[in-house]
Amino acid sequence: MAEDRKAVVELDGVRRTIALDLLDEVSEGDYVIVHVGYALARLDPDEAEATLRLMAAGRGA
Amino acid sequence: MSGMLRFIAHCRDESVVGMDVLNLHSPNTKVLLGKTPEEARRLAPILFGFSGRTHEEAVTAACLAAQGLPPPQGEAAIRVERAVAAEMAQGHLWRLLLDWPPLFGHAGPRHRFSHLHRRLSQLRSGPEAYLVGGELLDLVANELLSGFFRAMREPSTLSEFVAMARRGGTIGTTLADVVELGAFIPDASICAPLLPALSAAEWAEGLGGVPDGAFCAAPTWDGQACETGPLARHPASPLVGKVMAQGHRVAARLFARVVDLGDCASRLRHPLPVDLPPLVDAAPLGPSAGVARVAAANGVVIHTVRLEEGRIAEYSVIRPSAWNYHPDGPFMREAIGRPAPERAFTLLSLRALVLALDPAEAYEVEVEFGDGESGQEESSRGSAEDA
Repeated sequence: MAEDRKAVVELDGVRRTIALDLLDEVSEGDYVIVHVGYALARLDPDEAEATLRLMAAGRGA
Repeated sequence: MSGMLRFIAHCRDESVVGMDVLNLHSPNTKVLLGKTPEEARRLAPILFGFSGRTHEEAVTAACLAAQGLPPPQGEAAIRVERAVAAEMAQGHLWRLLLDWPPLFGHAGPRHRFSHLHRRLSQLRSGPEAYLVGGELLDLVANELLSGFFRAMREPSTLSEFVAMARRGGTIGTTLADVVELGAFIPDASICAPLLPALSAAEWAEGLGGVPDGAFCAAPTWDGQACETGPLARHPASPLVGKVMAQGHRVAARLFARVVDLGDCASRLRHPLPVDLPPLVDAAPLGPSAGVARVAAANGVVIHTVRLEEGRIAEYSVIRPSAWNYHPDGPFMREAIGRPAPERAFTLLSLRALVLALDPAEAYEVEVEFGDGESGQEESSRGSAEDA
């Protein structure tokens, strides 16, 4: 089991380093749910993009 | 991080005299409006992030009740209970293994946490859940509170309690540290009441309809701001009660969290016990409306929905942190008046209180002294975000 793996994530232009300890399979370009510095789950890319669009529209409302 | 939850204590004459809680977020449920129940269910894990599966089950249960449909039965109901118990256990492990030990300078067993978190995320069957539940019970007995499991009798005094806690286990040591930090509750009457264990039908009767945003941000039950979470779930546990009776409410909350982890482990092994309420419950909330009550590691989560022509017309969520950090809730009542002799002690004392009430998001605590001395320190969860 790989431990102490790190990755850089980006949301709305903000980048931060997170830990990948809680996920088995994750690759560059994947969408993940992040919680206080950890990637919690990998997301279907279509679902993730659609949700991000919805959330951005909700913020603009 | 500008959007991080912030707690700012104002101190004067060696006491906390004021407290600001900033950036306490409510979920943006507007994105659910106009969606079908199925679309909302698929959005929930992404929209709510941590405890995403719990919120997914809450969305599903509230929408089924709004449609007048029965909840899952048989094996489907067992799968729901196991999924929510697994996510609750993950939340408890996060607090117990990652957040609490470093607060007092102890190493948190990060790899142990990762291993258990992954196992809980990957549960696919009843036998797997049974095994992981057993592993969690062993963790409680052998690694978290082993001092209590090596004794033939309960501690009869607080000093015996501390000695027993120190005799073994990561959390036992931290628990003893918390008790030795001090009680700070001069009178139990200052504390917020514990939110009673209520069924979804009782919530439906009490709410009377989909609550507005103002109520969700600062909810009350029976006119009072209440505390939710492990302490509210286990006030009758003898050792929790003993510590609470001595005014050590933060320690009581920490102990109750371990008790709750044991409860989650038991539910993974034996879901839907007949003598305890289910973790997910739903009821109608008037015409085409429904309410779901779901247990999460940091307290009760309430989802309410009203449908029009099969689509969501109103949606609201009451999160546990809205109770616990309410302007008249447990955090405020116990923070104000706390001793603040100097910066380091005040920060530690307040961080322990914040963590005991579990905001379930990254936070930072700052203290400002009337004499110009000030201090700022991020929580262990804030530190984790920077990892």
